[in-house]
Amino acid sequence: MAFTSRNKICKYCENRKIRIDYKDYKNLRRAITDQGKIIPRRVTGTCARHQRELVRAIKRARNVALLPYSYDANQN
Amino acid sequence: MRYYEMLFIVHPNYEQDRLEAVIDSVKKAITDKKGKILKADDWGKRKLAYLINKQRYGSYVLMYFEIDPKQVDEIHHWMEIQHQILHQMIIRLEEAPKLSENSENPDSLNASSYSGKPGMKTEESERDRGREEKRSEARSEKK
Repeated sequence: MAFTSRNKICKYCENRKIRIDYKDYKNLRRAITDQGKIIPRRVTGTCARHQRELVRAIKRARNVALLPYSYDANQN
Repeated sequence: MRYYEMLFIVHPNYEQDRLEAVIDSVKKAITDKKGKILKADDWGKRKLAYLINKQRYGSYVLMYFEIDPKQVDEIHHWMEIQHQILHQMIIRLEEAPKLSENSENPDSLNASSYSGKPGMKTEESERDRGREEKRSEARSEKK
């Protein structure tokens, strides 16, 4: 069976310095796709706890227009 | 009394003195309800990720305050009525906020503390950076 290598270490557990905050939208952008979708943790390897915090922060950032709900090609 | 954090967006037509007046009116609304302002931080005008009331830009203001939880809904309602405020979000804080003198503008926040992981992740961040650069170029062209 072919297994693709994946990130098993949570980036946020490894580096405790990174605070997850909705105001820090630039770092949150790493957790979303080009379309603006939240990347699932099975892909990123983020642990459950930090993924939960990320999701909350991303949704808050979307609420105040720091992040888009979707990157639309026709927009702007 | 509980601690709250509020981020609100003021209509882009309100600048300098008029923006100050709007911020002061918000402060007054909170202090009138026996709240206490801990910090008010003006991020300046920035581009919105999507249109709000057909506006592309907005002035962001971040405020920390302390107030009786029963009054929060009223503050929220009062903010909704103000036509010069495009949007607001109030967040309950579990503990007293660590207030710094500096502005918490996200463009200066945490910029150095992030170190990308080597390997496939850096590619992504480089792509991100490229995109950001393109965006800022586009922005400067517009100006």
